[in-house]
Amino acid sequence: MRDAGFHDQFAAMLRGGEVQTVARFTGGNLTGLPVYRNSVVRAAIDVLGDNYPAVRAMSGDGNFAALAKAYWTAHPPRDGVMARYGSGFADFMTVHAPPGMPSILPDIARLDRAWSEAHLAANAATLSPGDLAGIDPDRLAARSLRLHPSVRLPLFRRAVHACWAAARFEGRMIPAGPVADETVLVWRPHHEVRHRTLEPVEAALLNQLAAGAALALAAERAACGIETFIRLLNDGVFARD
Amino acid sequence: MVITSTRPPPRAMGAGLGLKPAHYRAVLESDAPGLWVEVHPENYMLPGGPRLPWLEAIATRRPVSLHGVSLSLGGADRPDRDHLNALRGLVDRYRPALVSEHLAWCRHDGVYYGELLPLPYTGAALDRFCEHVDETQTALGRAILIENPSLYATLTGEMSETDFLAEAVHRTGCGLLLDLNNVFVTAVNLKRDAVSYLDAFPLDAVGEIHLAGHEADPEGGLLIDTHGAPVAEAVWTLYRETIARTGPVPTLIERDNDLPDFHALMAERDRAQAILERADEAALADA
Repeated sequence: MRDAGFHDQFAAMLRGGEVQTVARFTGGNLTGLPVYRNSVVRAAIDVLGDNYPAVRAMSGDGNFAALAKAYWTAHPPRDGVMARYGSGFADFMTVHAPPGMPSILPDIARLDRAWSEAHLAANAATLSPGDLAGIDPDRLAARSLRLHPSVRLPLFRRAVHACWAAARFEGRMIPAGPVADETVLVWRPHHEVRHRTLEPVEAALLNQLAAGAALALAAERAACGIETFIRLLNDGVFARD
Repeated sequence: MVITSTRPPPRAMGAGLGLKPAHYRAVLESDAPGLWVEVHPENYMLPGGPRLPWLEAIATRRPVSLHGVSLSLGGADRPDRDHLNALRGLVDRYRPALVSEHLAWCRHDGVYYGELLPLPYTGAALDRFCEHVDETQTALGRAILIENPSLYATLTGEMSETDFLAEAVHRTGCGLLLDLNNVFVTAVNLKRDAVSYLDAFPLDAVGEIHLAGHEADPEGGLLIDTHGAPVAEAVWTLYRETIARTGPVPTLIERDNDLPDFHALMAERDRAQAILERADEAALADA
């Protein structure tokens, strides 16, 4: 039979309750209990900081800690695989970011998340130009292509990629770009995550292919030429089936 | 469980390091005798990515230990089945020399707390802990080691920690991971005697030793098991005294925070390796 009296009380204390709630399990001695409570919160802040380094850099350690604590309070982790934690952080920030924080922080969080997802996505061999050599053009035109499992294509209403990259990889703050659609390609063709902005026709082609359209139809709908496809092929964004 | 006779010689599995991505290449290229590595399996329960092939490559050259931090064996809830299945997958893939977990809990009612939390050492807690260890060992098809915790508060119980662990060993057939930094930190924090603790510890069941650094809590008089500093001299003293009693035991330098470069970490590892090799030579001379 599950008797969780101690664990219920201790967990309530960890989630912000008074340390006195567990006094009956400590003989009244409360020394040391705050260490557990503080460590739990600190661990969550550290994990979110590791998973969202650009957000942390742009918001400052103090602001980030407050934001991360608020997120942890509302959405604590459910398992021990910490690389997965924080999937809803960007959406949370959209609603709960305190006044004075940069308005693009949710978009910066989406890029941090895309980087993590690309980094940890399933492995797959990439399709190379050599794999397509000798294929009859008509067969190639009718072929569907699978995107590499690591490919992420976040779309933004403002140019944020340069701002994100400067914060994440150089600790440098630069203003966000103009208000204009920007699709960023984040992917891991081999062992290292890569990222770049996409031309609108590249984004359109990849979205068509991701939706299952055959190559010729996808290119027609995206209004792109063969050079667009070859550039993406050389980048290693397709999986070899 | 008495595992004294199954401990590997120190030049095969002597002193190891907690494996960090920054040190993957250096570990793979090292020719240090006895070097082995330990990872948190939670960091490898992933669909893919570069961590997995790195560990696979290292596992072909070095013994690997999987040191779990989230099974919550001391919790009220049973071990998570999905987590156990994922852990079994890693055991099958990497064939670890050792698998370990903690005398602690970290998950309750579906929330994971990310810290190793204490439990009262009562008869009911022992029954439940042993059920969880049994379930884990059955799922993994092998025995695991259980690590003694760092404590910051005294919980009212019915038995000592060493009696709790000895009974768990007796009932489940698990082994023990003796963390000497945890012994020291707990002794200071709870005003107990570390040597007396070791006198009562079931040393015959110890399959691994952890050495790590601690730091003082700036807001109080407690020591915190941060894994963010070199191993303290007082802990090295406990280590020499323990190895004198046990003979060589695979020993890990645990460093998770404020990570030094590989050579600095290896200097600490080499110190432990030398102690193990001297103990091995002494045991052979006595035989």
